Amino acid sequence: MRALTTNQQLITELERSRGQVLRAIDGLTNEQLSIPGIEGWSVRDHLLHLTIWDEMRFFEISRIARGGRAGFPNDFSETDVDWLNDRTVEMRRRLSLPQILADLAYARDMVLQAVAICPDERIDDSLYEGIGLGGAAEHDRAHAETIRSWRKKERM
Amino acid sequence: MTDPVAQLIAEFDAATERVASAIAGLKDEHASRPADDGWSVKDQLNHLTCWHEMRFFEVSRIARGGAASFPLTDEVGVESLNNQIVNNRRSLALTQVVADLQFARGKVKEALLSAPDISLSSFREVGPVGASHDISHAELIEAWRKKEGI
Repeated sequence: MRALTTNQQLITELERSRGQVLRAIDGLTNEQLSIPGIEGWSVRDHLLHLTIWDEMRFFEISRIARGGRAGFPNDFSETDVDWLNDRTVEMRRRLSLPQILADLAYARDMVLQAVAICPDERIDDSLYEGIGLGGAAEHDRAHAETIRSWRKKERM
Repeated sequence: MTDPVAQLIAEFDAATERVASAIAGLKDEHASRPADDGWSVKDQLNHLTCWHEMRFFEVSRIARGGAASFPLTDEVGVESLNNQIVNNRRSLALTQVVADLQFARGKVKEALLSAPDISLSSFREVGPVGASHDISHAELIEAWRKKEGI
């Protein structure tokens, strides 16, 4: 069997982790998805949040692929990240569920496209700062786990 | 009658030229010097890049029939967002700042060219090309250069 390239490994990992997110929300109604039951955020908010970070990630990967430096530093404080997260999710809260899902898929597709054409030597987590490369899959898994735990607690 | 998207792209190209002309010949050292309002030329360019990055996804979203994700929002909120993002990118070299701006603009243009029937009335805070935004920052840069004799 032909060995996977680094790009392919990352793409596979990103597809798997996104599968976990989609399985975590499977069967939930729009009403259930809209309950702000996870520290003030609904499942829809979690999906919006994943989209926003993938939108930023697409440009970050593209930037680094072209030989640039990360545009999102490590020293961004947790308070600032929380502020950014809350603010951006709040702006998109009124979007419909079909659009939220379409935007989620589109942003991930753009990330996968950026990874696919990124030179091997730039598929290197040490070149990334606040928006990690491998962090995309970890981020997905963390939110999938949060949603699963909430569903278990709420018996949904 | 002129095709509205073609007209927008013509405005976009003109704004791109205006910004390029405003920064022509500037060295990194000059471009990093903060003006009276605290922002350097690099900050202005990073700010434009960031809005074009958001614009690319906004155009793509609206082209797919979606609603704007960035509603008309309060000025204080937008200003905080602007400052946060510019602070993040302040240490980047001028060559990268310019390359990032070109890349983001290229993606916006690509998205618009692939959506000739896009609903222009669906845009809110993030407009489809941001030409007037680019030009207003080009004017700020031109005025600063004139004042500083650079």
